[in-house]
Amino acid sequence: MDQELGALLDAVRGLQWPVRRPVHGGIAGTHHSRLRGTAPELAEYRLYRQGDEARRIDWKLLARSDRAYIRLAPDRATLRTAIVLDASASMAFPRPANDKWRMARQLAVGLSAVAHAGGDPVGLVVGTDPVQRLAPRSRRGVIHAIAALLERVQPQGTASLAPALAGVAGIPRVAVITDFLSDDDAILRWARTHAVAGGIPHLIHVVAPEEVSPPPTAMTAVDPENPTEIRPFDERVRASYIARFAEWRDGLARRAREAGAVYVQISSDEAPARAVGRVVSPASAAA
Amino acid sequence: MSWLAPMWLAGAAAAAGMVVLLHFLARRRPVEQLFPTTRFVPIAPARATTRAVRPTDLLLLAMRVLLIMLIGAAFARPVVTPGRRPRATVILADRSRAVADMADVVRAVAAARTDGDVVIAFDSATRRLPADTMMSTSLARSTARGSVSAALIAGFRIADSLRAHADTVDIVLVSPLAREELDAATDRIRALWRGPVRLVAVRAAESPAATGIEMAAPENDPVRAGVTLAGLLRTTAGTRIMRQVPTEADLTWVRDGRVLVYWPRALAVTDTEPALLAGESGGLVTPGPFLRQGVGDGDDAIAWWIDGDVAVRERALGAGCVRDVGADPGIAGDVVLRPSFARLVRWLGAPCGHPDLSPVADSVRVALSEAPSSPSVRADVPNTRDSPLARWLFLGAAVMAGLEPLARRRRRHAAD
Repeated sequence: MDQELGALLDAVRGLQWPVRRPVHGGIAGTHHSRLRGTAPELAEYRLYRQGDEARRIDWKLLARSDRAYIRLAPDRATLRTAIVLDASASMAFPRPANDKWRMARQLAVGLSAVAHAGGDPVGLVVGTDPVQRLAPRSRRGVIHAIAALLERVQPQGTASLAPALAGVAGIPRVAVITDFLSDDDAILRWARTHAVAGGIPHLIHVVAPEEVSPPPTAMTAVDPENPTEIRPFDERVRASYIARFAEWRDGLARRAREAGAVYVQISSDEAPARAVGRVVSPASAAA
Repeated sequence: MSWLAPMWLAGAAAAAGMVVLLHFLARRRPVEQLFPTTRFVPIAPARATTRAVRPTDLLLLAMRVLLIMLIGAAFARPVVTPGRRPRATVILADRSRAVADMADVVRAVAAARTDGDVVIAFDSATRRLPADTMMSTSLARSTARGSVSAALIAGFRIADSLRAHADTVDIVLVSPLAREELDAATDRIRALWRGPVRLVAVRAAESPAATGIEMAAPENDPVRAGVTLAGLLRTTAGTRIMRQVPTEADLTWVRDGRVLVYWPRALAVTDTEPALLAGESGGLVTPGPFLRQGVGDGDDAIAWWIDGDVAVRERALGAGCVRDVGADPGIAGDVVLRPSFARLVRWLGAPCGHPDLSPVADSVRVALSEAPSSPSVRADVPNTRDSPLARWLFLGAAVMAGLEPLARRRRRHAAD
């Protein structure tokens, strides 16, 4: 693992990635479960029924009320998490540093580390052709495995995220890291479906400052995912481009939230640890 | 500086001009740059942008122009020729004993000389006169024998060195051209110079002859009689004939520049010889009979017997010389009475070295002055093959050719 990722992992240690609503139960974890269990926190009482464990009877209440009640407290459960990463050619910008891809990679590792620290099984799906996957797991070494897999991936091609998203069915929390330039409609449809099914979709939109506000030099813009698309780019085109791109981003954010997803826009020049913090922050979930 | 092939320079200048024109005329498309998506880039017609000349562009242009000019200059072969004159002259001025009046030589040199010409004074040796010298004082007559061969060699060497600074080099020989000034090597040395040699003749001195002879011999000596009959007997003269062995005082007398002829009597009966051959190539024949006496062998023989043995030797002694004569006319016979004996005596009494200052034949003069028949070689053609500067210019062009791609790549990266 390189030094950059090592520093990121140190920076995100201690972060938590809470969910805004209880999740379906299962393995004990850090998240609130919909099931009532035997956790020490008190949630409510109910009358003892035949078959309940006798040790759950609140004896003090029995002494006071002559009725047998048992204590109920919310259970805690794990949340399987998948990070879906867009590896299309548009992520390789700006050349040669490919800052968008670097940020996406760091977000993937950072979010995986936060989820893993919370006891949640975490996996990775990379939108290459063919799709590369790491099944969610909570064992030690999963973060290294994720980092190692991402080390071997270079953003290229025009692969859609749809096959990757199809592979995360059944995983409650899915964080999609993408620039939305390939198939934004398909991603939003998936997010809506996933949210309706009880999942927690996170849509993390990675943009580069040079993409938001290109430098004022004349150039001929070439689409990496469609090299036949060549557009002259001069000063008057620049103003129109900036306006259209901003309008599209605003529309995307609105549609994502309407779909029930957690939408966060991350700039590639942002500090990776801070970006991870923004994604996992409850404020972003509430927005 | 001059150019051996200037057309290359003109060609290079024309090519460089084309490069400059193309550099500013060629319109460059804006650099193609990968952009995440062109979805949001409105479709607009391409508009030609004013090309701003960036410093890197000018640097690249300058490098290309310099490269072309260096190649052209290298092929044009520059040569550094400081102040090349149209004509230079080397004047060989004779100051030997063959010259009758040095004023003639001074006048001839002054008439032929211009600024920058070289004057070489010669007798048996040569001396280059300084450029600012007064000819009248520098050209003083010497008593040495002149050597045209030595003068020509020195003149040709100087002329070769002048060829780098002049288009044409002339050689002028100011000399009476006496016979004694030419030798067997003169023709071969003359052939080394392929151009003409201008001859300026001056009056030759008369060949010195004996004007009087002292006799150290008794009155009845036959040789004394012959000298008297020749009208050469003097009380004191520059030549002394001795019939007995010379003393130390006699030798001291010789060293002051006089001639001593030691002509001993034959003390015993010896072989007689019918004739004595004296002078150059034995041209002075004196019929005998003569009583033969030995004088030894050596390179200083000046007279021989018919069989080739040495009859008279001349050896230098200080400024004078001693002649050993091994031919006694004897006391009988009329050898000493003949005119041939008088010629022999006059010849034996001549100054040391027997200067022959008679002029050479006209055919010799013509052969000396005319250029050898090799019309394909010009005397004034400078060395046109070598241009040391061209190598350095090619090296500079190679360096520029290596740097130009680096500058081009740097410009591309700067644009990216």
